[in-house]
Amino acid sequence: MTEPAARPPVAEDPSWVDLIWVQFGKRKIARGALFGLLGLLLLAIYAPLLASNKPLLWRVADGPLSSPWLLSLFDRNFFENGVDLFFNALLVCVSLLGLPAAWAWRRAATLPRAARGARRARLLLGGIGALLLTLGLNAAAPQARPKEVYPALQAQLEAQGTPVLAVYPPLPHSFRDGVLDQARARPSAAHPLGTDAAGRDVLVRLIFGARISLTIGVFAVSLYISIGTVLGALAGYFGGRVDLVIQRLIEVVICVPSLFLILSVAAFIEDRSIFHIMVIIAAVAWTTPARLVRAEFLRHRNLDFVAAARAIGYPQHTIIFAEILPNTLGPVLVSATFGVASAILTESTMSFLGLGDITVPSWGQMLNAGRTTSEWTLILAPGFAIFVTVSLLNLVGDGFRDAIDPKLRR
Amino acid sequence: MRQSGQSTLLFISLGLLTTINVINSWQIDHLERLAIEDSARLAAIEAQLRAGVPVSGAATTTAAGPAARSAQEAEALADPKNLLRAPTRPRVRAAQVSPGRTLRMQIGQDPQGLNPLIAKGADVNEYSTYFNAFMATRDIGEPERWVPDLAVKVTTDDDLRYRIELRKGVHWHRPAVDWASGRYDWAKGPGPDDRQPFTAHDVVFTLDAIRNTQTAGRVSDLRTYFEPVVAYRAVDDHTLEIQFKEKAYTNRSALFEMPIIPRFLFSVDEDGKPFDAATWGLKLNEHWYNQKAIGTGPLQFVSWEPGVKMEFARDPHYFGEPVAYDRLLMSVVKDQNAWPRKLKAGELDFIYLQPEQFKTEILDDKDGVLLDNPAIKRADFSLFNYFYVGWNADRPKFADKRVRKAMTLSFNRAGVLEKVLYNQGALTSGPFPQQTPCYDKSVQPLPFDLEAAKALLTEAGWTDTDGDGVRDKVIDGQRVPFTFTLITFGSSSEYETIASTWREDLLQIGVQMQPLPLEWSAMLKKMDERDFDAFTGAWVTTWEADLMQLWHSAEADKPKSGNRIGFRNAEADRIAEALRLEFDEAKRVELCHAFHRLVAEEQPYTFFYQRERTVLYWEHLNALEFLQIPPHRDVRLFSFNQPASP
Amino acid sequence: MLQYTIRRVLLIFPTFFLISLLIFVVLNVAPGRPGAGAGGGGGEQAGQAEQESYRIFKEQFNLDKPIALNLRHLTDLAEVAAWVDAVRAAPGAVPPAARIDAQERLEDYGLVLVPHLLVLLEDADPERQRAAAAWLAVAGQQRFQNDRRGDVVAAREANRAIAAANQEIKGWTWTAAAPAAEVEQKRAAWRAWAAAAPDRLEWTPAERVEMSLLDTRFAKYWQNLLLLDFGVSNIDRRPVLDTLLSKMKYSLSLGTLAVVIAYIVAVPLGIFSAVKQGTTADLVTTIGVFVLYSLPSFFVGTVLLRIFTEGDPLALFPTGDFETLSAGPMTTAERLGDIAWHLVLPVVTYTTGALATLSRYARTGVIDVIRADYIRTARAKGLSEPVVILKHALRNGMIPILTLLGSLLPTLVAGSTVIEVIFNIPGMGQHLYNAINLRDYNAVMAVLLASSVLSLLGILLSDLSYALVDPRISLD
Repeated sequence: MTEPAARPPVAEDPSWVDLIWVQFGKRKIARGALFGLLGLLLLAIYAPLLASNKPLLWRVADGPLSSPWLLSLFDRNFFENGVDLFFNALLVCVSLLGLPAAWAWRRAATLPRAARGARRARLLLGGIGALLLTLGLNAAAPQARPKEVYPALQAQLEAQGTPVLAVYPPLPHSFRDGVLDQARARPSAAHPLGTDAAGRDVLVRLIFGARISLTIGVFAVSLYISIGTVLGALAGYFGGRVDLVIQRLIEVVICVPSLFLILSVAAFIEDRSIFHIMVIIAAVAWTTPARLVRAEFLRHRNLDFVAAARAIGYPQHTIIFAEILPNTLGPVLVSATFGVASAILTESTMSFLGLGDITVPSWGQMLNAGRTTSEWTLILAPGFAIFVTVSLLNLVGDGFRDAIDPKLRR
Repeated sequence: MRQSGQSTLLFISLGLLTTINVINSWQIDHLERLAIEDSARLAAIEAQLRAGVPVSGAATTTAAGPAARSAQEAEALADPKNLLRAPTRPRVRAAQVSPGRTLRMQIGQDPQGLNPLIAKGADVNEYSTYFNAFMATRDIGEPERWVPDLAVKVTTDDDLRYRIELRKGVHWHRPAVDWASGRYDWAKGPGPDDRQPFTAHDVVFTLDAIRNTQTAGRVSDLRTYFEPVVAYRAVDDHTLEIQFKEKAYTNRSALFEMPIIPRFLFSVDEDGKPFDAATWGLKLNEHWYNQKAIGTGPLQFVSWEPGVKMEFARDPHYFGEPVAYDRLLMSVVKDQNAWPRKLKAGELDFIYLQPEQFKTEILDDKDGVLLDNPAIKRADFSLFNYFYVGWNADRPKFADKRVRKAMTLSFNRAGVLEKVLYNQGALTSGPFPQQTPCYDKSVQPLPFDLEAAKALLTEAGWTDTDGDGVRDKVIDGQRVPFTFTLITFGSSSEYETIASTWREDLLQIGVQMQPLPLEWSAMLKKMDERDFDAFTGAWVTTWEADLMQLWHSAEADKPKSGNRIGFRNAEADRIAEALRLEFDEAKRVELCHAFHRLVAEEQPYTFFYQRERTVLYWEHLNALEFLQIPPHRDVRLFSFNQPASP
Repeated sequence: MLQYTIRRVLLIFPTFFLISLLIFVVLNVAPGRPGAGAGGGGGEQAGQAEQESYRIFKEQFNLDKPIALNLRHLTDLAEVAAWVDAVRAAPGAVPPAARIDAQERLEDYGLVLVPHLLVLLEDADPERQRAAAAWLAVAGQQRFQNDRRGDVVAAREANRAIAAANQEIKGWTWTAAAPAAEVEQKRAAWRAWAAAAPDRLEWTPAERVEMSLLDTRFAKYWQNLLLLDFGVSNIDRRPVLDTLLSKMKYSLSLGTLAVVIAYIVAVPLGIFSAVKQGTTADLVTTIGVFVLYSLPSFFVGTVLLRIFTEGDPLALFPTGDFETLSAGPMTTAERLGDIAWHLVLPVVTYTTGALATLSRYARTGVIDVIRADYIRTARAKGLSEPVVILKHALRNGMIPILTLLGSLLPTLVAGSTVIEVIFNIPGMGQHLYNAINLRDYNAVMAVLLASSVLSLLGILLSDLSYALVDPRISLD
């Protein structure tokens, strides 16, 4: 990388975000963990490319060449879950736009700070727009045809003497549909980690499980960070009666044993989906960011620059969101990273106890299957998946914390 | 220097103290052990004394029972008008009795309670057969035959008014309370061990309780059968009369198999004060003795610690053949995976196998030695139940019987039974248990035949007109594709597998099915509101066939009824009504067979299979016998090869 | 300090009220019918008697009341008429869901329906009159008073009168084939009944407000709660508090043992790590602790069970349970040994989770102190390193980790659902899990409330102890 050398000497001070970033980059373990997380994310995004029972390429005799795999990505009968459709849209967007976007992002580094921020914001918005567009197209697309069972079809055609060209992903199994004849197979070349009671490949489910865990972690945390930040900001900025009410609310929620409450509520919802699970987790966990943000506001409220802003006559919301809020970003980011880890743990505990979403491949649920069958692969594989994900997140969180506040480094 | 001397002294004295303490504890422990042994010996002697038998052998325990039993009974059985007949075989042979043994079994969960009138659940029903006796029971050799239990003679002229003569000299078990406290002295009766006598007034009390709408729980189910009761009274202490409004075959079994509770205990609060007449039904629901058991059966209740264990002991004063062991210990083991491990470790005498375990322990067991121990044996028996898929007949799609038949044909039942359920059951084609004569063996389950299913769908007007791979049809002027939702019982992963395999097959014939796993309460709500296309379900069946609740069209329009699928068929109504009134066994079988053929043709349900269970047991239990009739596992029949080793 | 303590203690009560409100609303708002599939019918058959029985069941558990706000007194005639018609409509005319809903409302609303039903009783349609009378016989039923506490004799007396009155009005219904004279006589009876106590059927604005707030499930629940009556389980009808207390001993012994062991291991580990800060030994400990921190307890438990109990490879420990059940009587020492043997694996599982947090705290605490001035002074005085650490650093460094004990209180008693489920230990965690699965609302409420109280106490203790040992903490 010769990029930094090519950068023209800038006279401006490095921004706070840059400082944190540099500090973070110095911590090798944390940086490694961040790359690990990125890998996990790519694994989740590209899961169908690794495992699908739809051939990437398919040609019967001299017929037209087609890609049932590509079509299946947007087949709502095959990928029924919103999470999968979302990740599939992400797959398409990342594949098409990922590299140019990364290049443009890096290029922006050479711009002066103001322009750089604007450029990057535009890039981000563009990315989100592309994603939404893909999802919208997907929703508008007509229902795909019912799927054919390609491996069976291939065997049938070949038995008739018709030559078939079929290229499958490395793991030619569906994450959802089991093959009865292969139920509870031991690990083999075809199924590196064996199959479960329904004849589904364990490795494939493990990979798709990453999608579920990451979604739950990220979305639940985003949700509760939003709630917590707003409430904390209100409490900290206005103080007085508002603060009192919100404080009481925080106190009440903290006192309720969260796992007990989560389990009870989850059990009383009849058609639990991962959406419910995210909401429940968020409803219990928002107090941490709320307290952090409130504390930051209390600290900053009486500082000079806020007083100055107020004296100039800035409207209140500008003061709150433009001046104080950015200062809370650091601690919130740290607690969010740890929050994702604990949300993933909570979700897997729930599904381990049978109180999760039973229609999705969840690691906790797989581990429970391992417990009932005493099958080593079924115990260790999901267990390590959870362990690795949670560890990576904790390491990254540690790194962020150290980077933001060197005093906290122990 | 001085300081170190002091600390040395301190350490030495501490060490000494510790040693003394250890010796002391050891001595106390030893004393405790002696005391325990003594009290065990004393208890044994006391038990034998109470049984009125000199301290000697075991086989004689039974001597007093049958002799006293037969006098009144023999006379009653001689009466040709008696509906009850002599049993074809006894439940226990005297030679099998092995004193000092404890039968140890596992239960997966605690029952809701032990009052058989209040607590709901198949488990309570089963346990109540251990500690309770009934009016009459089905003979274990010939289930059509009713044999005397608490009643020795039942007569009727018109099947409306029954006159029942009760067994004399029967006493309730001694309530399991803290007698030493003196608080329960009011519960003492004149019988042996201060027991209270069993009389006709107890039966009247039970009937009062069943008909009191304040009571809730199992009585809800019983109440349906006793709603047509017009009058009942105790003629004297051992004679009872009861009159029904309508003649029905079910009246007898309702009467004979009704659980009976003692008046002296359940009509009063813990201090012996009678409940108020206005609210006694509510009090009964929360009665202080509901968590304990009392009855007149072969085993008497000792203790129950929820989540931990439940214990019963042989009742020395039981009027019938006593059980062959001294105690019955049921430990609560919620984790089913621990069952085989506990059996192997010798913590249990026998266990059920779950389908998964059946696969690991039996199908995958290459050497044929169960749990790697040659002393562990296996037994199988078939339960009275069937699994099915119900089709909502009120939905236009499934109103056509050809469509329902096509659904059945497209469901690979044999394959699923073999691969998912490991052949732990038999395919079934009708609503009767296969062990009963009602099941018409000539009606074969439909085969798995996708081609035939396609043909039937085409014939019913479902074709793929727009080429999207899904069949469609014009209904009420609208073109609807053949898609439907199958509600499955979500708490079990079996159904997930079953639904996903079936879906693949349905796609081959141009039908889109969407499985929807729901928990029981959510499922029940959907069914109550008739808001479903199809669902997976199971019914527990009985020896006696009764079709009114599930199949009569009058039930189809009632909210929350058993006829959830809205099955309406004039011929079925006729058969169901006729069966209620038919008392002749041969004619009943004919009616059942006619009904069986009818449902095979109509396919209101896709009948799936009847479940079997496998039991593993130690060979120190005599070859286990499982009854044809529920409860199939009758622990009263179990016995040991040899007495306990000292 | 005293003032602070008193204020904190007093604050517990409003907080507890809010907690109970929160839990209550959350549990009751979540979909799912209490009592469905469990006790009290609503299940397979729906005969006339069964309907009545289910109504009584709902009444007994206050399930016929709205959750926190009762606006039923605003019901108008048109609504009531619509419900009555929906229930008596011909099969198929009304969707089953609407019919069930209408029926539940007519069963639940009670007295507020009576004025409207009396109007319907005068309707031109005789069938509507008949239905109105039938529902009057339900809505006019009075509730029994609680005769378990307070003035029992008077309550019983009142209940007898109520039962008689209820029985009487139950008779004032007629069949479709009833002669006109009978119908007229019974309608007259209803009119007389309504006229006899007109104030019962009219509500002043104040009464309406009171009804809105107090005639609710939550208000009734709280009234009982104040008398320490947590209600009875709707599964086994046993007082839920009794069951809860009987479960506590299991969770308590498991929790205490685990926490004690965790402290015994974590504190020296933390000190060691702090003293050796920056060395390889510290790094190894930190990584080890970190690994433990990221291991989910259900994974640890499952793996331990798999390794040590199945005989493949090892069969060293029992497969779960708190103690051996089938064994005969044992001496105290034997029994303790037996329990200890059973608790090895659960305690290890429990400890791995707590250990990581605790040793991290211990390490932080000691490091903080080591850097402090007075330690430097101690060192400068020439005291040996062990003396400095043990005498000075330890005493102050352990403050945070000891105050942490307060916040462990709830877990200590309430136990861990996951561990108790995995190891079949009949403690509170498992009790909650079972209660949840059986939809036993009262039992779930009791467990949640009990552990909330413990949390409250734990937080209070930990705050107070903090304030006690650290004078820098402001008390206001």
